[in-house]
Amino acid sequence: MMVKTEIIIIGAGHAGCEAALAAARMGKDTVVFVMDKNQVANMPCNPNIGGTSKGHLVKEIDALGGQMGKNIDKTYIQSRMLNTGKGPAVHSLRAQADKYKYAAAMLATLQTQPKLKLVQDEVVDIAVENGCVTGVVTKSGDTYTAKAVVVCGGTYFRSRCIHGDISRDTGPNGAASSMALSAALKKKGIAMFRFKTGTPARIARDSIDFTKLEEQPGDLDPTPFSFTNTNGGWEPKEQISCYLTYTTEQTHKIILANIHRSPMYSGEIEGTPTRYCPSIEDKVVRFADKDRHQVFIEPEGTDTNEMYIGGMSTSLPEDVQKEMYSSVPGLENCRILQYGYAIEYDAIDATTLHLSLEHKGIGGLFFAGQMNGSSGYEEAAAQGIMAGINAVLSLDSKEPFIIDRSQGYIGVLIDDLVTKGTKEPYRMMTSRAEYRLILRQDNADLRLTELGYDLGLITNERYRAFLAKKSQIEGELDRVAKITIPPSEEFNEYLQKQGQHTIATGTKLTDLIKRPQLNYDMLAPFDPTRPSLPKEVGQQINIQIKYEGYISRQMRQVEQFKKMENRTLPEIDYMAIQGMRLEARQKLNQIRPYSLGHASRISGVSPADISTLVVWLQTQTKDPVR
Amino acid sequence: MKNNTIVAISTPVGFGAISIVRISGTDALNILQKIFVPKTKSPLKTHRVYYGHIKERGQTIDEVLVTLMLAPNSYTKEDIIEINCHGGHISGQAVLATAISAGATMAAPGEFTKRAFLNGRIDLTQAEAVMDIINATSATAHNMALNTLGGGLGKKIEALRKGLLDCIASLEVAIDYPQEDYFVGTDVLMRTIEHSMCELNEIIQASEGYDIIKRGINTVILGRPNVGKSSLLNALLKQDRAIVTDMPGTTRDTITAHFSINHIPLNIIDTAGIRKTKDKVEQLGVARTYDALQSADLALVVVDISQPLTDQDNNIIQQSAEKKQIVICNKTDKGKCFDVADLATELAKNLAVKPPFDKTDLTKKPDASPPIVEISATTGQGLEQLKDAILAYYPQIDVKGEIAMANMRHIEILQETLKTLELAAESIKTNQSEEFVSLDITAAYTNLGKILGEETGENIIDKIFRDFCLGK
Repeated sequence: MMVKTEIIIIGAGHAGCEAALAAARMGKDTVVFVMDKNQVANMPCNPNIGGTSKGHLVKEIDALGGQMGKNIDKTYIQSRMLNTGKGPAVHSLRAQADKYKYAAAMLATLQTQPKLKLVQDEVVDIAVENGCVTGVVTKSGDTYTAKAVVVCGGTYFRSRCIHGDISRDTGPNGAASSMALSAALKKKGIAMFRFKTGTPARIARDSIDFTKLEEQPGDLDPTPFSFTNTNGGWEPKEQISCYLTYTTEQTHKIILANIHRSPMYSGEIEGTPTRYCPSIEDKVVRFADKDRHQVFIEPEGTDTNEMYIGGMSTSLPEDVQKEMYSSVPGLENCRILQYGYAIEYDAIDATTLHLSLEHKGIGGLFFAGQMNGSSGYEEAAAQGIMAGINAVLSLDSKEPFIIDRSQGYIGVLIDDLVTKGTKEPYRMMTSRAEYRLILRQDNADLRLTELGYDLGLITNERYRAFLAKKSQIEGELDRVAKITIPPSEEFNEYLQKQGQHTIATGTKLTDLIKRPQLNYDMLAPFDPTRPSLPKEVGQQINIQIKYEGYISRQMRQVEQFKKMENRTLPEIDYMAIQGMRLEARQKLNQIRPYSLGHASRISGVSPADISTLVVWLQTQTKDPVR
Repeated sequence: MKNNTIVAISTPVGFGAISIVRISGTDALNILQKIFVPKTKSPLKTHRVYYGHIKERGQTIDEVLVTLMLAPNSYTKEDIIEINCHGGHISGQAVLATAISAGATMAAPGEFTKRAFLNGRIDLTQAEAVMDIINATSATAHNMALNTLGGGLGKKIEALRKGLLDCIASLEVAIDYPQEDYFVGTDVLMRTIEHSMCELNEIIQASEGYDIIKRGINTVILGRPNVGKSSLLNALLKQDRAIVTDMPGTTRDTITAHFSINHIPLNIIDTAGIRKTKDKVEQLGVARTYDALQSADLALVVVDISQPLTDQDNNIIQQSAEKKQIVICNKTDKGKCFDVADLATELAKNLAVKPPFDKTDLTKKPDASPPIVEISATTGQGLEQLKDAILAYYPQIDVKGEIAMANMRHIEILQETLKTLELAAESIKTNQSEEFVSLDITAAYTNLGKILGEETGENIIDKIFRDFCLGK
C-alpha cells in the first residue's frame, strides 16, 4: 500500500503527540505512527507532570497552543505549587497524573483531531532522495510519502531493559523496542549514542503501612496548567495524597553488600547514565556520608493499586530489590508489582540538528524528544511541538520558528541540546535559564501566545481573551503608576500592623507595593478607584511592580544577549581562521552557528576564540557581520 | 586577505643607543630595495644582518644595520625588515619617513602584534600580555605583565570564583530542588560575598599601583630659581643612567626625564624656576610650570636650607599641597639656616589654608606636614632618603609583582564585579529569595570568568551534581 500524506510523525509519546497535533492543527495532513496504541502518551517512569522548570515548559507549550497542559488539567489526581516561599519566577506547578487516564485522554485527542491519522504500525526505514526525506516504510510493507518526517523515538530505539542479571531487548514496561529504524538511520549516516536511565519498583498500595509515612496532600486551591482553564470552567477535583518516607542505614547496608550485582557497577550497562536521575545505588555510593535519602510514594492513578517509589530507582536483582525496599519504614511488608530496571537506548547527537530540530544533513527530517538526549516528558513535549511547527513551516518554505533563550525555557532547552550537545540525558533546570526572572510560568502566555496565534495554533476565541488580559494589565499598570495614597490614620494603623513604617505624606502606590511586607492585593482597600480585575491580572501587576529593579537588571542582560544574537554569521570556513585554536575551529565548523551569540555558547569555544572570530570578521574585505 | 605593509619605530622614542624601524608586510622587501643600499653586492638572504645606508633621492639618511626575516619565520608571519639606526629622535624619524614615502603605511599601535595574532602566531591572551610588555616602561611592569601570563592573577581570581560557585550551587539547589534541604544559609553567603569584595578591592588597589608603574609617576620639580632643581635632577639621573630628552622650547621651558627607583618609573619634569617676573619668555615658562603641576602625581618642592625661607618658597609649597608632595631642603653642604622640625610644624599649620589646586589625592591627610628631606645635590647626601620618601607614597605598588593585573580592561571588570556583589549583599540583607541573590552572584561569577577567558554555564550544573545528592 502506498499512502500520500504531508507530514509523518514517528512515535506517539509526549514529543510525538505534540508534534502530531501541532502539524494537524496548522492544517497539514498528518500521520502519526505508534507501535502500540496502549503506549500513546505513556508515563513509563514518574507519574507526574511539571515541577521546577518542567512546569515552566508545560506552561510554555500551552501558551503556544500545545496539549500537555490541557491534558494534565483533565487527569491530575494531585496538584502542588512548589517554591511558593520564593519569588514568582521559580514558583513551579507540579501535578500527579492518573497515568492511565492521562494516556487515554491524549489518545482520544489524537483520534478526534481533524487532519490527523493515528496508525498502529512500526516504521522500519525512511526514504531519502537528493538529501531530502520523501517518506517512510513500515513493517507491514506499506510506504507513506511525505516531505517532512519527525522522529520521536523516545527510549524505544534498540532499547534494552536490565535488572540484576536479567536483560531483555524491550522498551519500557516490556513494550516492544524498535530495532530496524535505528539501524536504518545509522545506515543513512546518523550516529547513535547509548544512553541509560532507570525507574524504581511499583509497589502494591494495599501492602504499604501508611501510618509510618508522612502525608503530602495537594494544594487546597490548586492552579491549572493551561491558560485556557484560568478563567473559570475548570473545577478543582478531589485530590489524592502522596507520601514521604526515608531510606535507613539498613537499606544502605543491603545496597552496598550487593553492589557487585548491580549491572551498572558490573559493567553490564554501557549507556551513559544521567546525573539528574541517579539510581539509589549511585546515591548511596557517591554520597556515603548521607545517612538517609528521601523516598516519595506516589499513586499512579485512582483506579490502580500501583504506587511509584520515587527516589529509589534501581537495577539491582529482584531478591536485593525486595530486601532493599522492605528496609524502608512503611514498606516492611511491601508487595512488588513491577521491579525497578535500567533502560539503555539509542539517542542521536543533537548537535547534528538545526535549532529548528531539522537534521543538518537530511532535509525535512526532524528529531524531537528523548532520543535527542533529553530526559523527561515535558522536555520531550516541548521539542515535539517545536519540531511539529517547524516541519509545517519547512513544507511551506517559511523561515523556521525559533524561540530564543530570552523568550522561553523551550529556547534554552533546544539551544542547549543542539548547540552544546549532551553527554548524558539532559534535564531542564531553572538554573540553565540565564534570564530566569523574566521567564516565569505566570507570564508564559504574555511571552508566547501571540506567536502561537500567528502560527495558527491559538483559536480566535482564546486570542481575544488573551488580548483582553493584556490590555487590562497595561491599563492597570498605567492607572497604578498615577495613584498616590494619602496618609490617613486608618492606613497608618494598617501599616503598623504589617510591621511597616507609617507614611507622613502622600506616597506612591507603586512604592508601597515594593515594600517587602506589602503587595498589590493587600493595598486594595486603600485604593478606591481600583477596578475589579481577574486574579491573574492582579498577579502580573504585583510582580511587574514589586520586582521592577531585578527585572530591569535582567532586561539589561537580555539587551546584551540580543546584541550578540543579532550579529548573524554568514557561511564561514572556520578552518581557514588561523589565529584560532584548532578545537574551536572544528567545533564552529561542526555547529555552524547562526550568530556570534550562538557561537559563544558552543562548548569548546572560549570567549578568546569569539574575540578572534570578531577580529577576523573585521579583517574581511566586506564586513560580513550583518 | 591583502594587507598593506606597515612600518613603525619599534623602540621607545628617546631611549637607547639605537632605534629600530620595523617594516612588515608583502611589500617589505620592495620598500627595502627602494631605500637601502647594502655594502654587499650579493643578494640579501633571510635571517641575516646587512650593513649599509638608507638613502632617499641619493641623499644618505642614516648608516644602518638591516635584518631580514622573511615569511613565515617572523613575528607576524609576514616578511619583516628591521632597520637598526642611530638612537635618539632624529634618525629613527627620518628612516621612518623614508619608508613611508617608499610605500609603507604607518602602523597603528599594537598592529604588529595584531598581525601576529591574526596570522596564527600567538593567541589572544598572549597578544594582550605582549602589548603590556611592549608598553611596560620599567622592569617591574614587565614582570607584572609576565606574571599575568604565568597566572599570578589568574590563581587569585580562580579562588574567588570557586567561592562564588559554591554559593551559586547552593542557591540553585534550593531553587531547583525545593524538596531537598541543602541550602548553606545566608550567613555563609554573606561571608563569602564580603570576603570576595575585600579581595577584589585589594586586587584593584594593587592594579592601580600597576597602572602607575606602567605609565610612570608624573613628577614635577618645583622651586624658586637657584635652589638647585637642576642639580637635583642631575644627581638623580647620574645614579640611574637615565636619558634626558630635551623638548623643544626656550631654556626656561620644562624638561622631561625618565628614571626609575626600584624599577618604578618616574617621568620627571624639571620646571623653570617660579618667580614673579616681567620677562615675557620667563612668564611663559612659569605658566608651563603650572601646567606641569596640574598633571603631576608627585611634586618635589626644592628649597635652599642655607638661606632663610622666603614667602615665595611658602607659596610654592602651598600651591602644590594638593599633590603628593615632598619638600626637599637642598644645599645641606652649605650649612643650615633653619630647622626641619620647625618647618614641619609651620607647614602643618599653613595647610589649613585652601590651596588653589583641585583635590586629586584623597589618601593624603589634610592636616599633616608633607615629608621633608634634607639633601645635598652636590655631594649626593640624602638622596636615598628622598627615594624612600617617594616610594612611601606608593605603598600599593607591589614591586615584587605578586598580584599582577594585565590591563585596564581587567580593572573595569573587577570594578563591575564589585558592584554586582554589593547588589547581591543588598538582596540578602533585604531577605529576597534565592533567585534574586543568585542573579547578581552569577553575574559576578560570569564577569570574573571573562578575565580568565572561561565558559561559565556548565560549571554551575557540574558543581550542583558533584556536591549534592539530587534527583528521583
